[in-house]
Amino acid sequence: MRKYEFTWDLIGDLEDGRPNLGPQVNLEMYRLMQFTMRDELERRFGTEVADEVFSAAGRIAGGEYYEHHIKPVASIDEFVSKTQESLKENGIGILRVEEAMLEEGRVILTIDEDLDCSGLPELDYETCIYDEGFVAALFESYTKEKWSAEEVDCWCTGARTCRFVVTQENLAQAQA
Amino acid sequence: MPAQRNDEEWIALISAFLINPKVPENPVDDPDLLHNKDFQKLLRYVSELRELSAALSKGDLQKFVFSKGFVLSNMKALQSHLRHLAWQTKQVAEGDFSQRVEFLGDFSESFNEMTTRLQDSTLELQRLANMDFLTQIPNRRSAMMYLDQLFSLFKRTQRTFSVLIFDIDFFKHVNDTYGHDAGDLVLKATSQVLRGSFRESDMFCRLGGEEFIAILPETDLEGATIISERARTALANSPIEISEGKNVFRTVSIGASQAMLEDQNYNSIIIRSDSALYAAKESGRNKTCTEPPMDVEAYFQKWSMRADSGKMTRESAAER
Repeated sequence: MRKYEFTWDLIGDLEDGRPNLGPQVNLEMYRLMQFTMRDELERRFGTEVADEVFSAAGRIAGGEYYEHHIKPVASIDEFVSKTQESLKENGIGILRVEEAMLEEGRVILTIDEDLDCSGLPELDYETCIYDEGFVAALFESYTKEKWSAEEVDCWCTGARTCRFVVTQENLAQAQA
Repeated sequence: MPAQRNDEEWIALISAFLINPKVPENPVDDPDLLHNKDFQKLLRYVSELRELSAALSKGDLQKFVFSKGFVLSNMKALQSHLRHLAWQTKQVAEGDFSQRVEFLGDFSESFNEMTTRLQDSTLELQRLANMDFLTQIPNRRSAMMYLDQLFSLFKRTQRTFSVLIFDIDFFKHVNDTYGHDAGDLVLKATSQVLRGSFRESDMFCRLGGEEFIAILPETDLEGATIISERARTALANSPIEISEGKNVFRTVSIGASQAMLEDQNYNSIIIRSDSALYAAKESGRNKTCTEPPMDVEAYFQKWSMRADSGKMTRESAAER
């Protein structure tokens, strides 16, 4: 029996609950929660598990986000444009597609002004692991196939934009 | 002093990599330096910087480099923007005019203006391709496209539709007697009067010459005859001014049929409507005939009486 299984209802009625403060929160506070959570996960379970948890949580979020903010979509063009529009509108980031070879199971995209990392100090590693899961789940929800996303450039490694290579797993395996 | 030597070598080497058009062969022969990890990292960085800048200068957007860091990352951001622009241009070429560029200064403005103009002219071309120039109603091409869609829907859902084909009676007489300009006026006026008899969901098009077609979704043959008779009587009672003070009255013959389960494609419905139109012409004109035949006049009279007595409104009957 699980106590915390996610459903969209858990987000609650923001209009009713925050009549004065509204639905927005300072991004600093979002990052405070995310990075302290990551800190504690790593401290207790190690870096690898912390990353896995973040990626898996991102996947849940991506799937739910697609259900509640993106669908229905009739074509890849509509999927891209609705996702671009929605991510921008919700302050998540500015999505741009570099190439979309859906039939080959490969998409390269960038997210500018990313919610999780833009403005962070330079580090030796890409940090948007939550986003990797999130992006992969968006493609999974649209195509009903298994996708994975890898961040190859990140603000934290000096890039001004986060670049993701998104691949459909069965096609990538077949090509390999 | 090995450190001094290394410093000089570093400076010379990095300068060569950044400035010289050709990279020196075997640039480093000091084994200590070659195995220094920081040196390797820097060497790789400047090499990739060199490769990426050379690729960008030639418009090659497929060169990917993997070193991190501010300068290279700025170039990667430019590369990424240009790759996105290339993708956007492809999208525009495929008809997605929603693409807008926001990240390339003056170029963005020009690109966005180009896309807007392209969209406007494409829409205008589409309008012209689907519109009959004289009557300003949809043309035969539009009618066939709509019939194709509606027939596919019918095959899936069995929700029927009907087709009316109109032909202006004795139109040749107008041309022969009053000239082609008067003929054009009659065609325009006829299309306007007939168009006023249809519902918003119906499509009314000029097939060519003096022939028109009405496509009535979700309408069976009986409902179609009511609409048909309404259009026919409206035209018969509308004077058409062909020159100052000179009015003529025109009538139309109409053939009607509805989609049937055994139809293989929409042509079968057109053929039946055409056959009904022929019957209308043969049996005296200014009337609606159907295929399969039904007593349109009797049905319309019955419907009119019921409508007059308030048992059935015109709209509700037409919506059948």
